Amino acid sequence: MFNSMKNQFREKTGKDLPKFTPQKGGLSRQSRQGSESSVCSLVLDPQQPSVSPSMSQDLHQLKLPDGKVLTNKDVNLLTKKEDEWRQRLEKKETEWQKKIEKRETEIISEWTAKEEAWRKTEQTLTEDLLKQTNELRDALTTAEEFKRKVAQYQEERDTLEGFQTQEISKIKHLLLAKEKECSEVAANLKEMSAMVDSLKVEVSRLRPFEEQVSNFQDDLEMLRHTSEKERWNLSSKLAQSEEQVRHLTDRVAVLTRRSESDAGLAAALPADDRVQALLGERALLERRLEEAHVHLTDIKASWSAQIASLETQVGRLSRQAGEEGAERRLAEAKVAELEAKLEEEVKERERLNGRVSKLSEECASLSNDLKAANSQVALKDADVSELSKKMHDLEATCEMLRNKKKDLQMKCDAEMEKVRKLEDEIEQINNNVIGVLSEDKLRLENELRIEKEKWKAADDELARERSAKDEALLRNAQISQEVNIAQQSLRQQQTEVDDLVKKSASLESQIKDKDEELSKALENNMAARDELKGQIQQLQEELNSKKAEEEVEKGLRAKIADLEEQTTEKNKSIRVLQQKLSDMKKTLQKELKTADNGAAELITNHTNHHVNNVSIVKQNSNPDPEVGHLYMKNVIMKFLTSREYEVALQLTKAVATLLKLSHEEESLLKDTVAWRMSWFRTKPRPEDYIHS
Amino acid sequence: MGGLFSYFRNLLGSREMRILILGLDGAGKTTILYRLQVGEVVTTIPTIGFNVEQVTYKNLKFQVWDLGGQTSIRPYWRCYYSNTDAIIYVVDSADKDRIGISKDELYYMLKEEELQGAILVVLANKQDMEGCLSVAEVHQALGLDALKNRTFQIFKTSAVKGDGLDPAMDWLSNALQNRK
Repeated sequence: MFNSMKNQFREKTGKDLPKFTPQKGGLSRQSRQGSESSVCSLVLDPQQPSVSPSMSQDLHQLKLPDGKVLTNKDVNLLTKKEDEWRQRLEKKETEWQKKIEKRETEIISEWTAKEEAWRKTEQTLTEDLLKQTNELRDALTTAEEFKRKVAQYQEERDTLEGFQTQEISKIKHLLLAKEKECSEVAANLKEMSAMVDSLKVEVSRLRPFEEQVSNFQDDLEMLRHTSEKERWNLSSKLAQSEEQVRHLTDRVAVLTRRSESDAGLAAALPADDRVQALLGERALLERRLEEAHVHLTDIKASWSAQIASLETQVGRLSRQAGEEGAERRLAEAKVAELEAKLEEEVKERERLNGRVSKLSEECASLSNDLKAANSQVALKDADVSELSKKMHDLEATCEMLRNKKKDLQMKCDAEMEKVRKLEDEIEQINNNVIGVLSEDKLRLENELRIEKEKWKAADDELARERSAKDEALLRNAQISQEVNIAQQSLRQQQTEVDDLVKKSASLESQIKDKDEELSKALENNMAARDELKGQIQQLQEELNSKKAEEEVEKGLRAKIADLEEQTTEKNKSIRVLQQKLSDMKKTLQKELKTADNGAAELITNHTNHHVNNVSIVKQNSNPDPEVGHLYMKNVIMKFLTSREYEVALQLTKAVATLLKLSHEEESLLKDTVAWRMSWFRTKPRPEDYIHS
Repeated sequence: MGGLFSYFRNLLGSREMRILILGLDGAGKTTILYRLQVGEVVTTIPTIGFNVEQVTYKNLKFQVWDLGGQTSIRPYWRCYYSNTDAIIYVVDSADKDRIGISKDELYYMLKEEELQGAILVVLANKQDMEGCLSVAEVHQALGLDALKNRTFQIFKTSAVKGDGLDPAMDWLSNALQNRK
């Protein structure tokens, strides 16, 4: 196919096909496809123009740029592959077209569905709009109504406001009038208050007069009372006199009649007339009695009036008595206060008395002191007199001494004169001596200076010597310290050496002991084994010999069982001893190694552990395969039958170790377990775990 | 399915604590496991392989693994070490001869990187046997004084009589809850 294309190209253009060389910079097809057998990577060799396509067809082979030759078979294969690819491409195209059509139909259906949905939504929206417009209209009408109402309300409000202003003005007017009245009233009030003040002043002025007035009234009443009394007395006297007068006149009248009648009798008047005159007299007397009675009643009435007036007087007096009682009470209160004061004063007096007594006591004590002091003073006076006597004596002695002093002074003066003379002499001598001494002094000072200088030089030398000595001492100390240190290190080294020697000796002894122990243990083991073997043999012999005897057999069987148990126990102990032996061997080896030079590598505990196990396993080579097999069986059975995810996951590691699975196999196992236990995981494919 | 179940269980309650019971063969690991789970002594055969049971102690759930302690299968212990919260190490107090081996195994185990955060409970088992070592002797024989940076405690137990297991589990559950 490729060749035919090439031919066509050549026929059309008359040129050869351009070379296909892999470009270095760009992406080459060779590199992309990763195979050298790609068609596109074919390059015609430029050095061989004779190799034409036709020739290549004849030869049924093509040369690749790297020298590989494509045979006709390869070309056929390639064409086949191309056809396959084309078919695949077509298939893919048809699939794609189908898919696109499907997609289109789906999109169209979706579009139509969406359109319908939109229409529906539009309808619903328009309906909503109509509803809302209706509602809005209704709302508008109601709003207009409200507007009208609002206008009405406004008017009403305006009128009301007018009324309000009118009312307010009226009220203001009234208020002003009231204020005026108020001010007037206030002025009146002020006047009144002024009057009240003046009246109060007058009242205060008149108050003393009131008392005078009441006094005068009292006097007046007393006077009236006395005058009334007197008048009553006088009237009663008058009434008595009048009564007497009347009585006398009546008697006179009676006597005159009697005299007349006597005259008449004398004139001879009959007895009857006399009786009649006596009767008349009697009637007259009776009448007078009645009159007297009336008079008495009158007097009684007048007396009762007088009694009433007296009673009123008594009331007044009792009132006065009450007032006086109040006054008396006040006076009593005052008296009580005065008494209390008096008591207080009494108390004060007592207190003062106490003080006075105290003071008197103090006075007494002071007087005692004074007496004592006086006695002392007297004593002192005696002393003073004695002292004055002594003084006199002393003064006398003083005078004596003064006299002596005067004598002495005289002597002193004489001596002084002598001294002066002597001093003059001395001065003369001194002058001589000073001249000599000054010369000597100067000489000596010079010598002293020289000596001092010498001394200083010696001092300097001494200091130098001292410093040198200190330095030498320091060096000495340093050297001694170093020596000490060296000695100490030497000692340490010696001790270390000793320790090492001891250690080596102990190690050697240990090794020897262990060797001995080992040999002993081995011997013991061997002996035990031999014994056991002997016993077993004996027992077997016995068994064989005593098989015939059935009765004894039962008894012996028990013994055999016991012995077998013992043997098993011994076997166990043998095993333990063997393990110990191996451990000892190991430790011996280690110690030997360390004893050699310690250069041998220390085996880590972990590896040691493994070695130990392996050795143990090797020693127990007989039961190991069985146990290992059993173990593997049990673990794998558990793994396969385990229902719990965690257990299974935990067991994958054990299974992997048992079956010596590789890392990939183990992870495959783990993922498989996880897949089996979960609902949603995809199954892991074994191929994924081969290359990874 | 099981994964989903465990997922829900994780949502509902706390994670199960993972505990390993280790020790030499014949120390009584399986007896202790079933004593903890069922509360009874069951007749056991030497465990070649392992037993795993869910044990609930005072509302705490433990997933307890009892691994066989025979010499040949001890190397496989390390396959089970990952994500372990606690180790119950069982020692036969009456087996004086092998206590050294027990000590070695304990120390090899504790050196594992995966067990650095695990809490250790040592059970000196078979205290009912005559002539057995005391707790202090077991403590000394195992060299537990040298343990550092490790939360651990030793208890004397008798799995057959059921003595001493409750204090040990009390301590362990407290330690696990405090560690959270």
